[in-house]
Amino acid sequence: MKQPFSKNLKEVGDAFLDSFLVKNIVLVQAIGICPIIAIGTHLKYGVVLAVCTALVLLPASLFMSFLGDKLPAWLRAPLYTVGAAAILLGAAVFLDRLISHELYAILYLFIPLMAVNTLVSYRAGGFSVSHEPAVALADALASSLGFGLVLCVVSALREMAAFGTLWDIPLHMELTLPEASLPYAAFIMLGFMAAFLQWLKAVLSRRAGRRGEGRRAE
Amino acid sequence: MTFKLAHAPHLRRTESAAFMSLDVLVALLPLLLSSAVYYGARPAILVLLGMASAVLCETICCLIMKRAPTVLDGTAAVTGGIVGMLLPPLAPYWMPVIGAAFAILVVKMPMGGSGRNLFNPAAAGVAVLTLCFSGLMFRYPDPGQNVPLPLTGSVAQVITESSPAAQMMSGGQTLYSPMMLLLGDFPGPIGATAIAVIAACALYLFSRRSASPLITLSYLAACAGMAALFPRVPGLTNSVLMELCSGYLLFAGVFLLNDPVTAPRHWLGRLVYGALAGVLVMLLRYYGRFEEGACFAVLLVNAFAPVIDRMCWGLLNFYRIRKGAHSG
Repeated sequence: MKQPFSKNLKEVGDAFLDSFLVKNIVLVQAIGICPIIAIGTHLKYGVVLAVCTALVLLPASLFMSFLGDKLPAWLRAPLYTVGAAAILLGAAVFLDRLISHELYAILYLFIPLMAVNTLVSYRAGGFSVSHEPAVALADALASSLGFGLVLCVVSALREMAAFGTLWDIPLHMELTLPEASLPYAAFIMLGFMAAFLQWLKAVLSRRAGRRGEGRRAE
Repeated sequence: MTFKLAHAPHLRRTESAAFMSLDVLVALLPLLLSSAVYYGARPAILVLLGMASAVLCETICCLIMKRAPTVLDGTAAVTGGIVGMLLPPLAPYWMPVIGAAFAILVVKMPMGGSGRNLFNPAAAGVAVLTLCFSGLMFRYPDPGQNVPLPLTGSVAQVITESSPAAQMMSGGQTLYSPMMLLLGDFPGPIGATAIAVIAACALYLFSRRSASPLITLSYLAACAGMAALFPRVPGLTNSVLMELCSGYLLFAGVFLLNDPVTAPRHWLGRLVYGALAGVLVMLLRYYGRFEEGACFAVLLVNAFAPVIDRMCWGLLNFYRIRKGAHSG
């Protein structure tokens, strides 16, 4: 029997750390690469897309965690996809009417696409169904943050390299490479970031191992 | 029984990878000399800058990774030299430096250095230069002027001409006789125009077993087949000749595809690999954005090389087992 709110905080923390860093959704699990490659060319686009992902993933994960195992398997995917599409429709209208029509004109194709992204189906449809709501929520939050962080870093770097601006503010750079907005540049960046994460993990585990040895020696 | 574990390239000869690199460097030398006849000393400076940049980058990488320096196996110098060879003689001096640095810093060393790179570093360096500086990459001087290019200062006054590959791409007639093609008397990259010299270099590399004739010949056969089936210029022989001799198609077949690290090891795999590369080169010429896309074709087939190798092993083993079952 699942409990709605686990008292075991360690499990929640582990789920968060797992999805955010140790098994980062993009850099280790290689999920959600498509939006990063396709539109991670301006920091603004990246932030909008990261917020949209969080908007969809949090309720979908919570919902599937509460009700997922009570629903038949064939009903789960259509249900959270339609729900995600409805949320994204609202987000798109909000963006268009209240924030910026220009931004919407560029992103109108990609925002609804997030509803059928593997990111949502894998975390909400897979992980959340078999976990408690608190753990599922932590996982969804960490997945959104991990995805958003990678997306924002890639789009900020690409915006600086390709257009010499950051958040549309000119940086007055001498040299710009318009080709950095092509897909291959994002693939190379993701590769280097993934390698950096592995290096970071190796260093951290080595340090933890050394600390453990020290404690044993005492 | 103990086996010695070793990383690629797996060489049949007792020599090290250094001998193979030396062979390639020796083969690049006559190409450099033949381009010096038309363009003076500028091509040699470009190629040497590419080599120096590659060697320097590899040394720095080895220092950062706290590894024994691998510069002496010569693969870095070959990479830098090939990047320089595929540039136009008019290229500014920073171009080979950037191309070779990209090849080593992004494509070769992060994968683990010599013998472990998935993609041919030189092809990747040229591909990036083609994408980022396509305006400079295909601006070829006219070799018919027989005036050495200026070594310093602006090169804006040098008379440029569109290469045969560009002429075919725009659908025009080409004006070069077979003799001019053989001698390299037409606009093109530094090391890739003198067709007769490249052919001689290929024979040298084949005889030294530093290159595989299977790859090069199946590649050329596929290119020739495509050129004969879908000609862009009138006349069957003319079409085949022009397609094979223009751009750096032949150079890529000899120097880029035969990289022992990224090519398949199996003989059937090598045949399939070369043919696939040939078809891709021609498709990129017909439908691509650039007049020459051989470096992209090489990168694409590099990705397929392990799969091709495994499938060929599996296929031949399957037939061998079936034959054994029938006879037994």
